[in-house]
Amino acid sequence: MSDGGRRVLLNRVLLHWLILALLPSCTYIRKEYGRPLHHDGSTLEAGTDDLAAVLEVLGPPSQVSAMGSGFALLYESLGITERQLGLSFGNLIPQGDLIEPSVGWAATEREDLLLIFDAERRLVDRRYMREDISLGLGGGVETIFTVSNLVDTSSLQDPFDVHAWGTELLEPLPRALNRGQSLDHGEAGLQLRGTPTRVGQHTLDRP
Amino acid sequence: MRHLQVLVLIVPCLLAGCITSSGRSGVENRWRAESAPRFIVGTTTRAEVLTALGPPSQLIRLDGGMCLYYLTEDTGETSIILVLFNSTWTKTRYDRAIFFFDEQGVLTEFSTSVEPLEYDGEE
Repeated sequence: MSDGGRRVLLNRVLLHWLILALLPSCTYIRKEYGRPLHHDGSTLEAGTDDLAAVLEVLGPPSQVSAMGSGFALLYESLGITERQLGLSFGNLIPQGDLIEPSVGWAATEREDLLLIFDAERRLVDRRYMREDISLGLGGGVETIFTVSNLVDTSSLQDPFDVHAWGTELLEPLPRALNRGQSLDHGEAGLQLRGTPTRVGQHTLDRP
Repeated sequence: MRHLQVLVLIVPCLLAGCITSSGRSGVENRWRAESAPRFIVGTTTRAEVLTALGPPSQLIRLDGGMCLYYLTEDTGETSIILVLFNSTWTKTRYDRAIFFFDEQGVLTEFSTSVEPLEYDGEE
């Protein structure tokens, strides 16, 4: 092959790589916790319907807590979507084909239905909420072989505290001492997923 | 040259990948077993529920009774890495059972999830 031919070949190879490497890559991350609530509780009447009627319509809740002389049921459904746009430098910089600066943005859609009952297990209050909330932006440099979150959504992804309910007395002090006031205990109230943990009753958890 | 062009186009495809994973946590959803007993309001006792389903995920004292709450959590994740486009989808599904009892330990209300998870335990 002549010098001219090699030069043309090299240019074509570089052009191909340039096109592929500089094309932005997209990442789509979707996390779903529970199915969408199939009922917003609007047909339930406070003061009329009782626990049996509620369970027949809605099924078991996500969380239960005793509340003074009555109790509360919380139904939750949560979806988190994160979209990322990245740019690969290919062979333009050393190891450039392995790294990718990316920017991501995330949002969540959530449904929450809170039902409060009195000691006679009669419905006394009902509140339904459906929200689409932006969770903000995030940026980073990733390798082309990894797909990971850039936006911090960890507060929404904690496992249900009910899984660890039986181990509460094995927790370090002062958490073990303050279990009676804990929102994880099932007898001191409820909180929505994603509630900040540095205020309210959770301050008793911190050493 | 044509071979080189094909190679340049194929290499990114070789970097593509697909990942699936799944996991389950919480209690066994024994209320889905074929051998699970029928629960009858006014008749079934707390002891019978505990015998049939085992320890609950959570036990809550209520005024005039008690509540047993069972939770099974199933998570499945699928990832596709095509370099130019990547996608990860995680679905967490729940199977729940809740039982309310009066002070005598007799079942007053109960419910199980509308959409069940498959039961993988012993019958």
